[in-house]
Amino acid sequence: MDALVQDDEHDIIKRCQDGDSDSYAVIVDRYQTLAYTVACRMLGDAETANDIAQESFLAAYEGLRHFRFGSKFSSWLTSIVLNKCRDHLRSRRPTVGIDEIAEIRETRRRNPEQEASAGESADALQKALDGLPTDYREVLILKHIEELDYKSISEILGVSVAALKVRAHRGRELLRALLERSGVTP
Amino acid sequence: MKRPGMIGTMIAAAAFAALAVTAPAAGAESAAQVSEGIALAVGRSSLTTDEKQVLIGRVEAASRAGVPVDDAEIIVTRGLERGVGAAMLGRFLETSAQVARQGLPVRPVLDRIEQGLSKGVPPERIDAAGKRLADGLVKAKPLVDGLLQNGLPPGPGGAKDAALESVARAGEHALSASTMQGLGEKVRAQGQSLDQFERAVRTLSFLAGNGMPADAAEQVVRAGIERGLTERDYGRLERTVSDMVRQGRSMDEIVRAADRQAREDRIPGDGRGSGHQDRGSGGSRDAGGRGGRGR
Amino acid sequence: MKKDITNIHRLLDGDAAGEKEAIIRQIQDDPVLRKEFDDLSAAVELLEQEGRMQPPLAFTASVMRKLPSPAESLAGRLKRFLFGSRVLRWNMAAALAIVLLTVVTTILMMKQLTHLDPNSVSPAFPSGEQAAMVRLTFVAPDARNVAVAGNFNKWRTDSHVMTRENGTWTITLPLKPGVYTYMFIVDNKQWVTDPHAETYRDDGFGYQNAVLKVAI
Repeated sequence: MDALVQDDEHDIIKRCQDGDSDSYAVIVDRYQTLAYTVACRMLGDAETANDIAQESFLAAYEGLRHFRFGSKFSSWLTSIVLNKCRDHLRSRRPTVGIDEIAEIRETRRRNPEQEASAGESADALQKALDGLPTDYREVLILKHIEELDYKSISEILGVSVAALKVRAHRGRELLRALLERSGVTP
Repeated sequence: MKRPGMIGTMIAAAAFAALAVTAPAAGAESAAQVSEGIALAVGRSSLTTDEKQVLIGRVEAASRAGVPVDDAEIIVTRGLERGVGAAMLGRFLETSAQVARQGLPVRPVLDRIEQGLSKGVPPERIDAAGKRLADGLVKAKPLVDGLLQNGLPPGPGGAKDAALESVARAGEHALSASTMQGLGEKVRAQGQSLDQFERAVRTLSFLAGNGMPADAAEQVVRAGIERGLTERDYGRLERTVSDMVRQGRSMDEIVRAADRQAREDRIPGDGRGSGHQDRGSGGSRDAGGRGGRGR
Repeated sequence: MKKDITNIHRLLDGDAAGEKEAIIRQIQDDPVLRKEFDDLSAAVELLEQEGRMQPPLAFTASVMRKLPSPAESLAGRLKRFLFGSRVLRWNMAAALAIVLLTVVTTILMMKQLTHLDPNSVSPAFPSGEQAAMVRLTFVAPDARNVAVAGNFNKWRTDSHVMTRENGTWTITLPLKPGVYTYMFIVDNKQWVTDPHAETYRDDGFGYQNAVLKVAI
C-alpha cells in the first residue's frame, strides 16, 4: 500500500508543479490529521495548531518545485510543521517566575476543553506532554502517536537514531512521572 | 411428473440450449446474448416449455437493451436456485431493461436485485424495491439534467450516474425533489460541481436514514456545502452521527452535534477509538470567506 | 538493573527482535520490572490511543482557498488537457476499450453462446486503475465459516470466504477506487453488518450494508 501511495503522490506532485493546484487537495486531505496532530500535541493549543498546520501546507505547496522525489512528502511536511512549532514555542517562552504563572493561566484559558468532563485522559496527556522538553516531546509524538519508525524520525528531525532512542527512553520515563503526578495512574 | 434422470436432464438442457441459440435475435440495439450458464440453468429447471421460452425471450430483450449478460446470468441462475418463478425473474429483467433503454445507470438496479436474491428476500419485495429504484432514477434524470443546464459544472466522468443514483435513493427516504433542487442550486452558487452535489445528497440520505428529520438533515448538509466539505469531511460527519446513534443519544443531541460539526464549532472530547468527534478551531477566522475549492 | 530497564525500552521501541520472549519472561519474573513495564507501556498506550487529533472540518477548503493562483506554463496546460485527471484518463481508455470490444463482439459472436464461468469474479471497474489491498476483519469465535458478499463480487456468498485467526476472521480484497457495499455471511445463513465499517447504507430491504470507499 505504501508503494501505491508513493506512486500516485508522484503524479499529483508533478501535476501541482505544472500548475494544477486543484490536485493539491488530495494531499491536504491525506495528511491533514498528521499535520494537525503534530502541531496540536507540540503546542497544546488547537487554534494555533490549526493555523500552523495550514501554513505548513501552504509553505509545502510553494516549495514543491524544490521537492526531491527521493524522500517522502509526509516526512518533509512534518519537518515543516515541527520547525514552525519550534519557532512558535521559542517566541512563547516565559522569562521567569511571574511570567511563568501567567503562561500557565493563559494555557488553561486557551484550552476550554479542560472544563469539559469528557476526554479527561486526553487533557492529562496534553498537560503531561506540555511538561516535556521539546526534544523529548517531538520524538514521542512521532514514535507513539504517528507510529513512525526511527529511520523516518531521523530523516525528519535530522538527528541520529541512537540519539533519538535516548530521547524516547528519557521522554517515556518523564511522561510516566508527569502522568502519575496528575493522577492518571495506569 | 416423473423427474428425468441425470443424463436425461443433461440431454434436455443441451437440446434446449441449442434451441435458445438458434432463436432469432430481433432488434437493433445490441446483439442478444444468452450465455451457456443461463441456457443450462433454464434447461435443467422444472419450468414448463412455455415458461422457458418466455424467460429466454426476456433475457434476450434485456441483453439487447444493454443489460450485461453476466448480470442476467446471475439473476436467472440465482433466482432459479432459490425457487423464484419464471414470471418474476422476467419482471426483474424487464425492469433492468427499461432502465437501460432510457440511458439511465442500470448497475444500481441490478445490484439491488442481485443482493435481494442472495439475501433470500421474498421475490415480491425484490420486485417492488427494484421498481422503486427504477422509478427513482427516472425521476432523478430531469432534476439532474436541469441542474446541469442551469450551469452546474459536470465534474469528473461518472459523476452524473452517481448523482442519478444518489438522487434516486434520496427519494426513497421521502426527501423531496425541491429539497434536492435547492441543494443543487446551493452547490452551484458555491462554485462547486456535480460530484460535490452527489456527495451532499448521499449524506442527506444517510442522515435521514438514521432517523434525522428531513429539514434538520437539510440544514446540516446546507451548512456543509457552504463550508466546502470534502468527501472525507462528510465521511467523518457520518461517522459521528452513527457513533452517536449507536450510543443511544437523543436525536436532538445528534442534530446539534452534526450541525455544529458542519459549521466548524468546537466540541469537547477527541481521540482515536470509538466516539470520534471533531475538534473545531475558532470559527471567526473562516466565517467570512466563501466555501468550496473554487472549481 | 539499568540494563533490564533498557530492555523494557527496547520492547517499547519494537526493537527486541529475537530476544522478545526472553525479555518478556524476565519482566514477568521480577515484580519491580513488571511495575516499570506496566507504567511505561500504559503511558505509551495513552499516546497511541488518545494521541491523534482530528482537524476541523473544511480544513482542506481553508487551505485551498489560500493557495496562490497558479502561473501555469503552456506545457503544463497542454499536459493537463491531454492527460488531465486520472478519472478522465480511464474514461478515455475505457471508452476506447468498449468500442473495440463491441466491434469484436458483434462480428464474432452474433449467434454464438458465450461461455461464462459463474464462479469467476468480474471486476466492477475497467482495468487501468490500480487496486488497493483492503483488509476486512470480523470477530466471531463461534462461527464455523464466514464469507463476505458485496457489490464487488455481485453478492456471491461463496466466492470470498474469510480465514480464521483465533476468533477473528479476515480477508484481503484487491479493490480499485470506488464505493463498495458489503455484508458478512456467518455459517451460510446469517447476514451480519460489519460493526467497524466507515459508514452504512440501507440496502432497500431493511438491512444495513457496510460502505467502504477506496480513494484515488
